[in-house]
Amino acid sequence: MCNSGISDHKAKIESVEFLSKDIVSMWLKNNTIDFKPGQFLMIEVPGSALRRPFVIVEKEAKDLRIVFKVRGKGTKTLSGLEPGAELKLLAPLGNSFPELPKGYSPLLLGGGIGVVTLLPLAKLYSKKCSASIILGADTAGSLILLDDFKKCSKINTCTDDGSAGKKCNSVQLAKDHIKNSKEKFAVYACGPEPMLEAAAKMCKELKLPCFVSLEERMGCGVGACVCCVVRTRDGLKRVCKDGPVFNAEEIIWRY
Amino acid sequence: MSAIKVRLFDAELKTPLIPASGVWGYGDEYDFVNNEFLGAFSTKGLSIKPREGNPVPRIAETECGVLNSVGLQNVGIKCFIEEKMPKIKDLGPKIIANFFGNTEEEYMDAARSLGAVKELFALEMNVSCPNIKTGGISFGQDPKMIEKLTSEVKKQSKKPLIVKLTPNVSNIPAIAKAAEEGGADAISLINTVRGMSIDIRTGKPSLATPIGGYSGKGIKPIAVRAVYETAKAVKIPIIGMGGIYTAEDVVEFMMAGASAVQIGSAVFSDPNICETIAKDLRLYCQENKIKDLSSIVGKAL
Ligand SMILES: Cc1cc2nc3c(=O)[nH]c(=O)nc-3n(C[C@H](O)[C@H](O)[C@H](O)COP(=O)(O)OP(=O)(O)OC[C@H]3O[C@@H](n4cnc5c(N)ncnc54)[C@H](O)[C@@H]3O)c2cc1C
Ligand SMILES: Cc1cc2nc3c(=O)[nH]c(=O)nc-3n(C[C@H](O)[C@H](O)[C@H](O)COP(=O)(O)O)c2cc1C
Ligand code: FES
Repeated sequence: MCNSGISDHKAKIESVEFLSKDIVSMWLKNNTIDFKPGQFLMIEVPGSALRRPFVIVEKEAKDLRIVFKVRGKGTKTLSGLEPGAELKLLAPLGNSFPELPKGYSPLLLGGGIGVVTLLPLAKLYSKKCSASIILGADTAGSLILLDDFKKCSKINTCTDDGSAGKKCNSVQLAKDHIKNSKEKFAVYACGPEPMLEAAAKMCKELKLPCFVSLEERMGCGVGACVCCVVRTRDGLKRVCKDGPVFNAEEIIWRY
Repeated sequence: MSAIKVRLFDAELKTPLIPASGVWGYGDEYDFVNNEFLGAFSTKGLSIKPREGNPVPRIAETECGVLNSVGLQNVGIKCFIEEKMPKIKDLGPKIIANFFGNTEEEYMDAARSLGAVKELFALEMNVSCPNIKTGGISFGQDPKMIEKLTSEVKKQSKKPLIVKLTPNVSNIPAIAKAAEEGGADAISLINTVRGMSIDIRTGKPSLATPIGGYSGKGIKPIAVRAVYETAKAVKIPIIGMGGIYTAEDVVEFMMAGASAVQIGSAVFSDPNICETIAKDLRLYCQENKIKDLSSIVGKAL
């Protein structure tokens, strides 16, 4: 076999379910893919020249789950597919979240659709220790996977409009949580870029380790085309291969 | 596989299929692909100095293809030779080093450095990338400059020199002819077509540059035309590309005059596409009682 562990798989759609008006949970039949928290796949979209990247949210027996927000043409097409449709998917891709630094407790910080990236970590830590979980969204309807997260640990939620949880943004809520706790936290964050930048800034001030999972538009997904670069202290890096998870300290925001 | 072998520069390629420059990196990322089905691969465009390329977003999708504005980001020839070559020299497929420069001297230096690398099969000189303001674009548009550049570069190494042309000129055969007169051993074409798109949700161009290079299915008729016209104008072999996704596409390019083909954007749809195409090409040969695929080259001319 190959060093990268990547291969191109076929998978039939097992189910498609709308979790909110524009967020879809899709189970795919495949029992050959193994993944680490933070890794993703590139899935074929019928009629599209480029595959779409999605985080692998969980694996159960013979099925793999992705959860995505309908944003443009590709996600719209995917959301309209019927169970039984067969798609190609390249997986597992990218690095993964690093291990918890010694002496720290995990704080999972998710915003919007980005929360899905953190579910594998929440599951992992539910076995080892208890993670602090902070999930934010613009409004109550967009707060997703709450039941899945609750099974792992206690969760704290917030919304921009106050329709669920605290009325504040997730980084603020994280800050309060950190200040009101005796633990030392390592922050694992995924969400919109401004939120990640704010999380990075907060962690720098509080001298806490912070790992962020980034998004960038992709061609190949395996490190070959250099379409998906992000500027770091060590020069340009590829989100698909060197990431998607980066130490927040490395990132030079707004490339 | 014997029916689909082709010859290029006195060497035998197992298949006529060559992943194109820019989609295959330096050849070390696709370790999960079966190399048996590649005739060769072309590396990402290399320059004497490493290069950072353009801001993101660098890629977008359109109805019938892909727009990119990577801007020739590459590790530089020194790093390629020292760090990448050891990893790729024994992979199996022949290696074509794609390169470019901003000046004639840079082109010559690049050809000299790469020409000294024993394991490289051929050099492919990109005179056509539409992304770079100061780059190849002026070379690729002027027959006189192409002839001079080709002859200067040709003197720098003994490797076969492929000159890769841009479609963004009014008279492709004239440029091809000039490259041939300069001493090119083959012509490859087409590079991407200048294009752009706008995300109407935001009102902003989809690419940061905002103009990029268009590739994929939508450019195939432009590419077939370019191969056909060029085949009529030159005697040296042609490597055709632009929107190839299937064995039928390959046959069409070969009938238009291509001795081998490159596969670019289609790799994004399916990294194993060369395997699929090679198997279908074999079937095509069986069904049509073709003993040697090369026999169809130029059939439409
Ligand atoms: C590593 C990674 C993991 C991701 N995981 C998830 C996930 O689990 N759930 C989820 O909802 N979304 C996720 N995304 C974002 C998701 O890939 C995009 O929302 C999706 O590609 C949009 O496709 P579209 O055709 O609907 O949008 P369009 O805007 O029509 O897409 C046009 C092109 O731009 C690309 N694109 C558009 N937005 C993004 C974006 N934010 N990131 C990357 N590429 C984009 C598309 O892939 C496509 O190539 C992830 C992105 C990355 C890079
Ligand atoms: C992402 C991307 C990067 C590319 N980079 C290069 C390059 O560095 N040098 C080059 O000569 N051509 C480059 N090309 C052009 C391709 O090699 C090819 O000529 C073009 O894409 C047309 O073929 P296709 O339709 O099969 O993609 C690039 C194309 C793409 C899509
Ligand atoms: S998508 Fe090709 S290098 Fe990341």
